[in-house]
Amino acid sequence: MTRILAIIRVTVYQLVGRRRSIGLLVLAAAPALIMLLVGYNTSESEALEFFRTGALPLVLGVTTPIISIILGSGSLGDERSAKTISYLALRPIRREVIAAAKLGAAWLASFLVAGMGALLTAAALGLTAGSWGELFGLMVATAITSLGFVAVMQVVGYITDRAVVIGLAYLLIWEGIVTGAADQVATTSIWRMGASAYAGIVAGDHWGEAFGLEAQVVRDLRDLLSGVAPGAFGAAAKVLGIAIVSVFVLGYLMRDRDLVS
Amino acid sequence: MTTSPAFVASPTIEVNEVSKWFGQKVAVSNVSCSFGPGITGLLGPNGAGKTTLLRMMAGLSRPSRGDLRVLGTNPRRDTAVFQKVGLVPEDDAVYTFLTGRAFVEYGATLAGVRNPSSAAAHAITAVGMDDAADRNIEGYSKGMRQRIKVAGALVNDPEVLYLDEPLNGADPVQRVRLIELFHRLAGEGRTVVVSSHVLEEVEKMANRVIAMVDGRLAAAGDSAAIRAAFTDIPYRVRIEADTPRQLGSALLEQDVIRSVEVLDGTLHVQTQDLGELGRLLPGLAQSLDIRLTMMQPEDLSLESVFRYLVHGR
Repeated sequence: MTRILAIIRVTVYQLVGRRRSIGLLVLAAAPALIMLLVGYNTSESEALEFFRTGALPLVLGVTTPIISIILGSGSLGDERSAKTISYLALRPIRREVIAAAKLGAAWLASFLVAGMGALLTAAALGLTAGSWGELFGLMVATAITSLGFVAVMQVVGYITDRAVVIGLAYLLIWEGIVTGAADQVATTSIWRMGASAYAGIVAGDHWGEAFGLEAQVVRDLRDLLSGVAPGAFGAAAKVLGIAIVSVFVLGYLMRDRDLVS
Repeated sequence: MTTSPAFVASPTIEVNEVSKWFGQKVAVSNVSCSFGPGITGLLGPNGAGKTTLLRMMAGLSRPSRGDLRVLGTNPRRDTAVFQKVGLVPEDDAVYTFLTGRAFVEYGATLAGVRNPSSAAAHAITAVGMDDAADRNIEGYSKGMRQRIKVAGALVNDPEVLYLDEPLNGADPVQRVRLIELFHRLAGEGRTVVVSSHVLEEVEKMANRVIAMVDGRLAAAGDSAAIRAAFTDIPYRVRIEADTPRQLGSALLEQDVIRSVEVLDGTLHVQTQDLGELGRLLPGLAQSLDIRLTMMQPEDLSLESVFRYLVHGR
């Protein structure tokens, strides 16, 4: 356990203790600023609607993925490019344990930055529209989205130096265009897993479900979800599955491929 | 048991017909050798395959072909062996945002050392970095980074220590201290493998040398044997004098000279003993009242020496 904590501590420091974290924090805070501007100039209900249809997809579909792509790619990718991976890997630790610790660290770093943005965005809604009920759902959704992206990008970052470019292309093409246009593949969209968790939490035990009625939040997010069923547990299970696969794939790659090139 | 100088009687590292290629490029070609307690120098020019072989022995990369055992196990499969292994890579592989002490302690923690702080302090003292240990590595000189890497490799008290160009960047005093440290570690029965492209450096550290060139094993044996092999190589020397033909005729009568040629007014001499030629030439020129303006070995690079050993050219 001490080793895992040591890897997490050094990796978080490595990922967010740099100048790039300032840029990422600015990016993370952008939706909050927009929400604040919109919230002060509209009614409470319009502000809430904008939050769900404008700010939320910005947080879960743009800023959190970008932050997670950059930090996820860097967790092992930075070690490979800086060659410090030899210092980490030539230790009596199972490769899967290293991969899991690295994933945990990258997720923590990503959630620290993206979560700050989500917190500010939800606070902007609370301050302008007086609605604080979205905060918890958005934080959970951000955590789920960032874990999904970090888990995928950690593998990509280990394999190639161009992980960030590949990640951004994936975000634009697959997450942005393909899964938005085709309901059949929408369930594979990582950011929609986060959105479905948010919708599930905010809808809560909506009494109308017994009568076949949708909660308002589900109606608001119908287009964004593209047919993905709302539910925090389902979303969490999916990203956990991705994270587990990521750890084992990385463990295999670290054994099978050269650690330094 | 084999009597080849490439093998030792009680090996801790065994390299059996190991090759490594990257696409079309062959970095290491069918190398077989072994290493045991004491210091072994892995010598060769840049690009000879030393670092690739060292990385395979350390478990950082996988042989494309062949088998490699460290302390009786495959380092790619059994991570437990890293409890007893240390590596000082050639690259500047340090976490610059950590202090030297935090860096070494991190290594100790990862290695599962019982008391990381104490082990780190001990390793830092061994490399003489106590004064700078609490400063960020970012501000370290190249030599200091080198020493902190050595401390990071020593912190788990390894039985096998790989050192890839360990004296890079170290000043003369640090070099002497590091060499003393490596000798001490070897004296304690550890296997120390030192990779270097500088023969003099290897001679100071290692009593046994394995020489590589173009990915292949070029020579193996004790340092004296390798040095002797080097002195048998004919060197080409360029000499400029005011009367080159007269000097050439006089040189041809000397035992150390193999051939003499005058091209465009410059004397090109082939000799088997560069040192002896250097000693006799000024006296000879003076006795003949010839003014010497230059004497320069035409190709004295380690690459050419090794190539001669391997290819005879």
